[in-house]
Amino acid sequence: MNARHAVHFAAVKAESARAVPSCADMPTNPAPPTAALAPALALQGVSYEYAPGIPALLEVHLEVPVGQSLALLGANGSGKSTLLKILAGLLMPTRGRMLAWGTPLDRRFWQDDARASAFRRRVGLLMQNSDAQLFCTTVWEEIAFGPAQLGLEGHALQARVQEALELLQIGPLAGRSPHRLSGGEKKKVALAAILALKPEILLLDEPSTGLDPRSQAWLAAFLSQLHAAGHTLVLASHDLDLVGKVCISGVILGEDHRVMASGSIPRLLGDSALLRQANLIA
Amino acid sequence: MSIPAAVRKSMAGVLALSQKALASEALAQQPGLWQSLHPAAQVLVVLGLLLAVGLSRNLLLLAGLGLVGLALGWASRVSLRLLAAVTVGAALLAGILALPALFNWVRPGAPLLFVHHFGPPGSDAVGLLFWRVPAELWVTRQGLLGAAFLAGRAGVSALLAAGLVAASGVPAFLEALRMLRVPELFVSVLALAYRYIFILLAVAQELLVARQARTVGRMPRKLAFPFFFSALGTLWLRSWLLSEEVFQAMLARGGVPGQFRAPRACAPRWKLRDWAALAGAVLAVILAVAPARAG
Ligand SMILES: Nc1ncnc2c1ncn2[C@@H]1O[C@H](COP(=O)(O)OP(=O)(O)O)[C@@H](O)[C@H]1O
Ligand SMILES: [Mg+2]
Repeated sequence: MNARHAVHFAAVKAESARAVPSCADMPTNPAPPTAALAPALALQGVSYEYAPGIPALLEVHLEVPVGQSLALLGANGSGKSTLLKILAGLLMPTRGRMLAWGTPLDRRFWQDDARASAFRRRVGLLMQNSDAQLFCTTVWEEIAFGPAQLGLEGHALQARVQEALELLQIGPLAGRSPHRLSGGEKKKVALAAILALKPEILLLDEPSTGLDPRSQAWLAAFLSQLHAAGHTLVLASHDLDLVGKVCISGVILGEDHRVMASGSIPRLLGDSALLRQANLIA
Repeated sequence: MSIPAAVRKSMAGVLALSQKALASEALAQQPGLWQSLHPAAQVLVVLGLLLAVGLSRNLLLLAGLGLVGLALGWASRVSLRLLAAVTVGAALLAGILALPALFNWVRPGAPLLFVHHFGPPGSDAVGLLFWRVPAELWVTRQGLLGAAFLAGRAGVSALLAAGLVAASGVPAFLEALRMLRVPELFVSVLALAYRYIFILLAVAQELLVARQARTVGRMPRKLAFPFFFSALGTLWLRSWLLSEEVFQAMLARGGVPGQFRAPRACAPRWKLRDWAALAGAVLAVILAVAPARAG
């Protein structure tokens, strides 16, 4: 807990400083040549504890092949958000290890800021809480933040932001404050902010919560398009309708924070005893 | 210490109002005088006018600057009621602070309005706690003039600043500071503060509503005090948890801790009207300094 405090405050201080302007030498592809055969992301016996003795995840084995559309199903508190944050490289497993395109992401890897940042750029995370995800003063800045970390400026930056605004059809929102938008608009802005980085893998944490029916339908279609375009998706949700439309295979996290079942989506969604046991249907 | 309904209502009112006042983005999207200027020009012009207000030795000039402030606000579609409230509020506050300096006991000067003669007739000094002060108490000319200047300057300054912020919004102001090469450390602290004010206001409002929804009638005296502190605790905890997630969100988008970069677009070009507005502000400063030199 104390360590986390320290990291956080150091970071806020550091963020204000924004001194050293050298990101250009960042490697764009940290993966070794054998990467094509390896799964995009893999977890081997991963456990995570926020506080000692209180597990949020227990001994999770997981493989996300390139081009997969994987559902992460589980009741509230089963550990979906924690798992996605581990896959996004924001939390380090307490036990077990993680691999990305075949490379083990160990302590040494994360200590190299440039490599860590390059990895996180290839893996976009849509957070469950839009208010945390959106931290800039305007929608334009919000979308520009990621590309700006790559060193994009001026016309190149403007073109990149424009592209993302058009992709999500939110051009008219560009000058507004993100935290004053509706829930659906916030989700679109957050998606645009991630897609502006052109990530290969998209991790989505309960993207349909708080959306009205039309936005939900739009979201399902949009995510299916992204998958068809070659993106690898991991979608955490208990919205079985969305999962059924977007995902091919799935993993169910039980309320004991362990993997309860995995398989193709039709098989998982067809097993009502299993779904009831996982607290996904009443 | 139960919270009276009136206080509770006004708390909710203040929260709602401050949120509204900060969220001037609706105006920023509309055409208007301030909005049509280059962001850097906006800040320079308002700084120039504020400098003129601070330097003015002439009530007429101060009144003129006040009219300019009103005109700018009006031409930028800012609510005149908001401007009036801000101006009068700031002037009153400054006036109250200047109140003691009106009297010859605090600041000697030419008598303008006789108030009272203390002590026995004919005496010219009386004891007041540890001091001896003149027996006659009056309002001085210098005191009144000084108070009028202080209140006027505060009112007009608030009028000018509120007009710009209401018209263009805080984000544009922050962007302008970046364009003017104000150190990023300073700008990002302001930006973070702006963000957290919103979050804190929203959370505070939520807590207030939740608390009202759960208590029927008046809260018992014994509970009101603990409630206040537990609410503060919740507020702090929630904003702290959120700020940790915000940091994670920055990392997730490729930020390197210690090297987060503010996005820079191409700055718009300065147009004729930007230079004209700047010239106007410079003129105001010259007018404010000139009579002092002549006299
Ligand atoms: N920041 C945190 N600090 C401490 N415990 C947490 C934190 N975030 C989540 N947890 C706990 O970890 C467990 C898993 O939470 P989470 O990953 O958010 O589940 P889900 O996303 O499936 O609802 C829960 O028991 C939750 O209370
Ligand atoms: Mg969650």
